[in-house]
Amino acid sequence: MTLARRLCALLDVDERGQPARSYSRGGLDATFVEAVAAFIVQDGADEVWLRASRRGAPSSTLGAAWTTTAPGAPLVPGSSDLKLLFEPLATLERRVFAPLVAWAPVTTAADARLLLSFGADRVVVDVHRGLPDPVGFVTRIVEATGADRVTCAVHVRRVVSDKGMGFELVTASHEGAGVAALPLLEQLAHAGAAEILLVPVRGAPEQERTLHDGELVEHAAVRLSIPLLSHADDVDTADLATPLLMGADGVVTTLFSGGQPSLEDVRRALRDYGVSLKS
Amino acid sequence: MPLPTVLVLDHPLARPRRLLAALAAIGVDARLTDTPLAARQADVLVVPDGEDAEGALARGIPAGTIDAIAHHAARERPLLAVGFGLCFLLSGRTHPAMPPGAGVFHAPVQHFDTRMADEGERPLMSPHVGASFVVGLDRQPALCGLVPHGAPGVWMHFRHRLCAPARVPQADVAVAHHGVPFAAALWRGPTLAVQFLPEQSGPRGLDVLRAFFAHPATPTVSTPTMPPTSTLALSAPRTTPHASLLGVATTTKVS
Repeated sequence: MTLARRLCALLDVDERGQPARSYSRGGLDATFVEAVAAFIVQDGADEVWLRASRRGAPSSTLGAAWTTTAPGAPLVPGSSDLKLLFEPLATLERRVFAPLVAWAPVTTAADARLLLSFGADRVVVDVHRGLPDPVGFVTRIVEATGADRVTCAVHVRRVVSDKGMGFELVTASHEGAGVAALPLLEQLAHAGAAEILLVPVRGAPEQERTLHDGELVEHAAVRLSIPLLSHADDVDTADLATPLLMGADGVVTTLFSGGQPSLEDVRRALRDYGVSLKS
Repeated sequence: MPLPTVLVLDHPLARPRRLLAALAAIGVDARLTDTPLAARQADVLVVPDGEDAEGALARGIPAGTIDAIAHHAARERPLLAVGFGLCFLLSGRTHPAMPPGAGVFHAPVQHFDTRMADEGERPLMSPHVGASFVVGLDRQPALCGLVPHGAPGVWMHFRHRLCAPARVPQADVAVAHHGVPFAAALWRGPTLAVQFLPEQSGPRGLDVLRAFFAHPATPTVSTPTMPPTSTLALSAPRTTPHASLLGVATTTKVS
């Protein structure tokens, strides 16, 4: 084994510019994004991802107006302003020597360039924000940022048609966009995406959280010659094993943002599943 | 005595920001220069990583950039090349629009062939991104302390489409593997070229930079502005000859 699967620690940054979850481990408490990121990298995370999020009740679409920002309100990932990430990125660029990835509502090439200029090594672009032409949207951003700087987040749901089960890109409001996901992934790779992040949406309303879709990962992995990552609402190590065993090159998870479990514990458990990880 | 000059060579394809930050973190006062003439005055020259995609290479860089590297290497002054910077030290061209390499190492530039399959039977990824295992760094006098005793190698972070072959005449090579074996690091005399990115390889990456700039001959070590971040670094022997040129604070005696 020569290329390790990646464990990417995702930190949600709330509207105050602070970590959405408090971090506590081994008697150490961290309340600033910079401190949490430093602890996580020290612990052995392969990459640090920052996601601008907001507490509040969402309106019909992500990124639209918010009715409340009360502290106790549920966190809505990826919903907040990208400027929330500017200060953490600028600090982390000088202190954390692992790849830094910024995930915020990028709608233009200028947004992406701004995040990169503040210190991100890569930016995550939610592909559905470019509908009805997501490939053209990504192409324009890649042309502005250069190669290897854009991670395409593709929000996907399963659909059943007369041809059988398939995968479809979803809109910001989690409705089907009518775009087949697997051919889209190949087009995004040709458009210059550095990597693909699969984000399965909740399969059924009664599901409490989103889960990695191993079958989707398997189908996507054989089509791509760029890295493939997967993101879901992970609650334990077993959640991470599925995509990694099905062919994902890494997982992007908030599992480490509270300090427990530790990366070392997760690595040990994943190795027991047969996943190749760096030591 | 004035501090020797550490210059990071900027060019149209370079991405030097993270490397500059990493050098600052280990206490090296490096400055960026985009003029080949200024680069010729450097006591230590650093060639950073950069864009190696087809579209970027097609834009080319000035031939003077390569000439400055060749001039520096010919004077046998310490030279550190990182990531894409390694390819500038090879022979031949990385792209028809690019000037020929400096020829410090007599090996051609190679591309990863995406028609090949990796060990998981997937198309070989290009760029090669992520942590890969590097074997053979312990044969480099300055870096041997970075490899844990008894371990076959260390993990480093890569991001590249181009590489040097695993066999390079008249040079020592540490090897990594991505479909094919390739040179993860090359060294000869005061020149060290690493295909991996120390500035993105965590504490061990900083240790690589620290080792390159540390002082061995007069058994002293430089005092970084930040403490070594891995315990390995604390126990690693400092045996590179480069930091004698730096004159960075050398206060800690090693017995």
